[in-house]
Amino acid sequence: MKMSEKPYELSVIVRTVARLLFGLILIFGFYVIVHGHITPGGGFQGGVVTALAVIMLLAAYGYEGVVTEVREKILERFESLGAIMFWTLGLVGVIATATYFADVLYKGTPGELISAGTIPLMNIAVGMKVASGVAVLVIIMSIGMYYSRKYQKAEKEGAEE
Amino acid sequence: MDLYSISLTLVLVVTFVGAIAAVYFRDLLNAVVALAVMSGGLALAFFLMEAPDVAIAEAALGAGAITAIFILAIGETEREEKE
Repeated sequence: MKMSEKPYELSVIVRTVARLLFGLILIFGFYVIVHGHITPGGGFQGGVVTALAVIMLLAAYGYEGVVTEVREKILERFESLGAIMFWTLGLVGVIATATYFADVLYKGTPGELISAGTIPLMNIAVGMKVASGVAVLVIIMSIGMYYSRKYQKAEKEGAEE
Repeated sequence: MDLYSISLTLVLVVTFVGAIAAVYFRDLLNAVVALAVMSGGLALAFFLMEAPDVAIAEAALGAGAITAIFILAIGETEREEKE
């Protein structure tokens, strides 16, 4: 069998399945985050599932194949935005009722999607933070691998000359 | 023994075998897959013991994220463990 010209990529089967499953995993992660207050799961679990979609692409395509689509600088801002959103929701409770994280929104019927006051918004904030945090973690790891591979290649070419 | 005990015992046996295999495999990729099997068994055990929240976290982190990170790391080093 002919060797792949891109050594950082996995086989064509893995790449095709990763490409097809990327959107589905993303949607499942969003579902777990948004339904956090009525079904098992929540911000952390859904965030990890969302980050897994990016990690899967990284494992299948390598950093060189993903860098044009996923930018870690934007994900870092997204992570900070999640933290600020969580803190702001706590502050809204302080301003409205003098208690940190107090409920100020429509409470609704238990078991419905639009219910439970600010808890779904807090789940979304935690989900944003965890999803971008775990994704950035693995992207930074693969950036290190990218440069070490580049360095080894340059060293090998230098030895041949 | 009722169905609950039998299924929990089976799942815990799978978890135990996966953990032991992860230690004894010389091929590190096999060891990572055994670790993922162990995490999957642990997630099923959590689910059987009526903690679906923990089960989702264990399945997503143990069987998904850690496996992917280990596979990425093994790609950078040797695949076989040396004596």
